[in-house]
Amino acid sequence: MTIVYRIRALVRWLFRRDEIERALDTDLKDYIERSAAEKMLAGMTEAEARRAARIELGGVEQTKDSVRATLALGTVERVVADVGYALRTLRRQKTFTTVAVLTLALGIGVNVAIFSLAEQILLTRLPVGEPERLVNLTDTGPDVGATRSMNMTGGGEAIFSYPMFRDLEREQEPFTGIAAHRYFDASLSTGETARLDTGALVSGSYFSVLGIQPALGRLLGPQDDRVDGQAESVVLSYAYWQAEFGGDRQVVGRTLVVSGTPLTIVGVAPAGFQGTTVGARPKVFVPVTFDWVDDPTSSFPSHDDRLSHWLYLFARLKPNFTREEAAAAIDPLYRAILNEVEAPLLTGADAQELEQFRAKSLALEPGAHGQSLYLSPEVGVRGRLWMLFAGSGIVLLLCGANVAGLMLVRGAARTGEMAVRVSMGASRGRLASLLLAESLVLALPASLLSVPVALLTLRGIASGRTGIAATAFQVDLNFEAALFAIGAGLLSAVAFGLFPARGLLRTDPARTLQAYGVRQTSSKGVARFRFVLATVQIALSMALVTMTASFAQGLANAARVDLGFEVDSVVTFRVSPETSGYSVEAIARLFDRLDEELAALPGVTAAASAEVSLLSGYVRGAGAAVDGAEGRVRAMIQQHYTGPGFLRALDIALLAGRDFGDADVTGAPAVAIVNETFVERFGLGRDVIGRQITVRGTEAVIVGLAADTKYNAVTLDIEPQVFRPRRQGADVGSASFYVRSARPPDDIMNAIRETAARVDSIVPVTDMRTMRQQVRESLATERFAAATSTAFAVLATVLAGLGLYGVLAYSVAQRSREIGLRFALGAPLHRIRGMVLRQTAVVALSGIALGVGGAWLLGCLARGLLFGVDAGDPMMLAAAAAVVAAVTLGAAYVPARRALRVDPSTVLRYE
Amino acid sequence: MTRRPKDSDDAKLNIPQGTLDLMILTIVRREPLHGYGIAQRLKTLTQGTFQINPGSLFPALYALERDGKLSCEERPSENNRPARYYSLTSFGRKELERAERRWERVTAAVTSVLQGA
Repeated sequence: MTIVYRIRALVRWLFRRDEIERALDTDLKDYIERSAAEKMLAGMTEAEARRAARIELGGVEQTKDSVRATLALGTVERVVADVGYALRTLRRQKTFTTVAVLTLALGIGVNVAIFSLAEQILLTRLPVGEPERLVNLTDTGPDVGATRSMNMTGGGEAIFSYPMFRDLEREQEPFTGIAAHRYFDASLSTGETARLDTGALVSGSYFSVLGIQPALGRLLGPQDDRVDGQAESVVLSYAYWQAEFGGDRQVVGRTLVVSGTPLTIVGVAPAGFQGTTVGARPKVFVPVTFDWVDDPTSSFPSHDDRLSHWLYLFARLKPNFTREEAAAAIDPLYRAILNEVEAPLLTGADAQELEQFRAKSLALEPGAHGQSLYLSPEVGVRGRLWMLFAGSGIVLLLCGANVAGLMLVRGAARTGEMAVRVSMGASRGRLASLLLAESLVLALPASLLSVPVALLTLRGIASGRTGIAATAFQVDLNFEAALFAIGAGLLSAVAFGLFPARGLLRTDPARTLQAYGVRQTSSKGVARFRFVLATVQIALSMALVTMTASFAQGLANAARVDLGFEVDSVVTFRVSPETSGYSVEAIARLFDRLDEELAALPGVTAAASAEVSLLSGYVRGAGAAVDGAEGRVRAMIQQHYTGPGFLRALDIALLAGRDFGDADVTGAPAVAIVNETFVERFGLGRDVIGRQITVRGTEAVIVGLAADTKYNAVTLDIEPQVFRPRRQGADVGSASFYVRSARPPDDIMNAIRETAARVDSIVPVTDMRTMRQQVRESLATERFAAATSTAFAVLATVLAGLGLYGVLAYSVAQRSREIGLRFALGAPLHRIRGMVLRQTAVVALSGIALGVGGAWLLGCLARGLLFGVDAGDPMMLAAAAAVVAAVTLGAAYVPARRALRVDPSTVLRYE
Repeated sequence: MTRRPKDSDDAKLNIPQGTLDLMILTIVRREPLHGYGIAQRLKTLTQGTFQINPGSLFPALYALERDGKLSCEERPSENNRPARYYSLTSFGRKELERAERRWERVTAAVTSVLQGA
C-alpha cells in the first residue's frame, strides 16, 4: 500500500509544476502577511513590518528556488543513482541476470509473435482517412431463391445483387457514397503469357468512398462504371506496378489484358493500399461493370439478375450521421426495394418464405477494419486468436512467475543488505524505487531479445500453415508489435519485480541484523509465496497440456472420420477456363474432352469432374423444394454439378438407382442424384427414385441415391446434397478433376499435365495434388492449432518444472539445518525423502486440480476446433494429469536427493 | 536528509539532521497548520532553542507533501486571504509513529551510554 501511495504522490508532484508554483505563491504571501501582522502588534508601522517580514523570509525568489531545487533534484538524483546501482548489482550476479532476462525474453517474444498475427485481424484499420466513418452493409434473413457467390471478403449476409447496389446507391441519403467490390481470379497479361492473380471489381465510387489518392495517374471514378457489361480502364496496385512494370511512370496509357479483354491503365493506387480485405491483395482494380464471361446465363458477374448475389458493399457515413441513424435511414429504402421490386420476382416461393423475405432488414457493421470473413463471428477466427492469446499469455505468466521466484530467492539473500539500508536511514520508498530500477534494467534487454524470439516463433507458425491460411497473413513484425514488446516487457518486469519486493520492504532491521551475522534468513511468507507460485504454474501447465491433448484427440478423430469416398490413389487438379475469357460452349467442350482423355490414359481406372472441389470448404448453395404428402417441403441444399461417372471415380456408394451417364445431356430429361441426408431432411422415405424435385426453379427427377459424404469439410456436418449432370446446361466456369490410378503420383501427374496441355494449351492447370494431400490441407487449421498448443504446453510444462525445482531446491537449502538435525536424531532416510515428496505432492495435486478448471475454460474457447472431443473427458484429463505429475516428480527428484545427502556434521557444525 | 541547505546563521542551535521532518510532522499532528504557524510553534515549543528559516522550512514541507506524508488544503485565512494548511496523512501518521519509536530507542541508547560512561 505504502509504495503505491508514495508513487502516486510522486507522480502528482512531477506533473503538476504549475500547481506547485501557485501553492508556493500562496504560502509565501501568507507567511509574509502573518509575520507582518505580528510585527505590527509589536508596534511597527505597516510598511516597516512588511519590510522586516520580507527580510526574515530571506527573499521570496530564493526561497522558491530552494523549494524547486529540493523537489527536482530529489527526483532526478534518485533515478540516476538507482539505475546505476541496479546495473552494478546485476552485472555482479551474472547467472541470475542471464536467466531472468532470457526467461522474460521468451515470454515476451512468444506474445509479440501472437500479437503481430492477431493485430492484423483484430486491430489493423484500413490505411484511409477516417476509417471509423466506414460501415459495411449486411442483410439479415434468408436470400430466398437467390444464387449466392461468396469468398473470403464475407459470408452470405454480406452479399448483394448488382441491381440492388445500383438502387441503393442512387437513392441513399445517409452516406457520402456506397462502394461495391468483389475479388475475382483475373488472368493478367502484358505480352504473350498470362498469369492468374487476384483482381478486384470495384464500383466507380470505391476510391472516393475510401478517400484515397493515386500514386500515379488517376483512380477509377464515376465515368468508369457507367455502362453495364463494359469497361475500358484498369488501375494497378502499387505492389503490382513495382513488380511487373518496375515502377515505370510511363505505364499510364498502356494496355493490360485482363481475362481476355484489353484495358487501358489509367493510374496506380497508393503504396500500402491492398484492397479492403485481409490477405486478398488484389493486383488490379477493374470497373464493376466489367463482364469478361461471354455467357448470358452466368451467375457471376451478373449485372441484371436480382437473384444473383455476389457484390460486397461498404459506405462512408456523412458527417451528420451516426451508424445507428444511418441504418435507420437506409433500412426503409432497402425494404421498399425488397417488397416492391424483388418480392414479385419470387414466383416459386411460398407464403412463409415471402413473409420472411419481406421482413428482412439492412444492418450496418463497423467497417474500419475492412471486410473479411475472418471478422464474422461464425468463422470463429477471432475466437481462435483469443485462444492463442490466452495460451501465449499463460506462457508469459509462467515466465514471469519464474522470474518472480528468482527475485524472491535473491531478495531473501538480500534481506541483510536491506536491513542495513533501513537502519542507516533509507526510507522504504527509496528501497522500493531501487528495486523498481532493477526490474526495469532487466526488462530492457529482455524486450530487445524478445524480438528474435518472436521472429523465430512466427517462422515456426508460418511453416505450419498451408492453403489459404498461408497467404492470408503477413508474417513479420511491425511497429505496433515492437511497441507491444516494450510495453509487455516493462509491465511484466514491474509486476514480477515489485511483487516480491513488497516482502523485502517489510524487513525488520533489528531482527534481521541479529541473525545476519550467523546466517542469512528469509521469512516464512516468502517460502509460502513461492509454493503458491509453483502451484499456479503447475495449474497453468496442466490446462495447456489438457488443451493439447484435446487438439490431438480432435485431429485423430478427424483422421478417422469416414469421408464417404475413397481418397487413396486419386489425384486431383483444377482448371478455370472462365478466367481466360472462354465462352460457355468452349468451356463445356474443354471439360468434356478432359473427362474423356483422362479416362483413356493408361493405368487410369476412372476419371471424373465436379464444379465444387471436394474438401475445399467451398459450397454452391441453393434452395430446393419437393412436393410430398404433407405439401411442399423446402430447404437449403448444396448443389454439385458433376461430369459422368463421378460417384464411381470416387467410390461413393450408390444405394439405389443409377450414376449419371453419357446420355444425361441437354435435351434429355433433367436428372438428379441426392444423398441420404437429403432424403431425411425432406422426409422422402424409401421410394426416392422417380421423385420430382425443384432446385432454383429447375425441375429434375431423382434417378439415384448416394451415400452421405463429407463433401465440403471433414469436420462439418453433412448437409442435404443434390448432384446434377454438368452436361445438362450448367453454368460452370471451372471444375476439379479426379483421376484414379494405380500409377505413382508423380508419374500420373506428369501424364495429366501432358494431356491437359494437349487438350488446351492456354488454360492453366492449378492445385494439382493427391487427394491424401487435399485431406491433410483441409485440416490445416486444426493441425495449426494443435501444433501451437503443443508448443505452448511444452514450454509451459518445462517452465513449471523449472519453477517447482527452484522452489524445492531453495526450500531444501533453507531447511538443511533442520534436516541435518533430524538425521542426527536418527530419522530414517525414507522419512526425510517423504518430507520433500509430501511438499511436492501438495503442490502438484492442488496445481492439477486448479488446472482442470483452467482446461475447461480453454476448452470452451477452443470449442470450434475440437472435433468430436468433450473438453471435460476424464480419460484426457487423466492423461494430462499423468504427464504433469511425471514432470513435477522429475523436478522434485534432484532436491529430494540433495536433502538425503545432507551431512549432519557439516550443517550442525556451522551452527 | 542532506538535501536541504544547512542554515546555521539565524538558528540558535543547528537542528540535528533528520529531526526537522520529525518535528514538523509532530506539530501538524494536533491540527492543520499554515507555514508561518509551524515556524512559530517550533520556536515556542523549543523555547527559542530551534529557530527555523523559511528557506529551510518550505523545502521540507514540500518534500513531505511530495512523499505523501503531508497533505495540504487551501482555504481562506482569518482575514480572507487564501492560505494553505498542512495536515498529516494516514501514511504520514504511520511514518511519524515509526520515527518516534526509532527516536526513543536512539535517545535512550545514547543517554544510557552517556550516563554509563
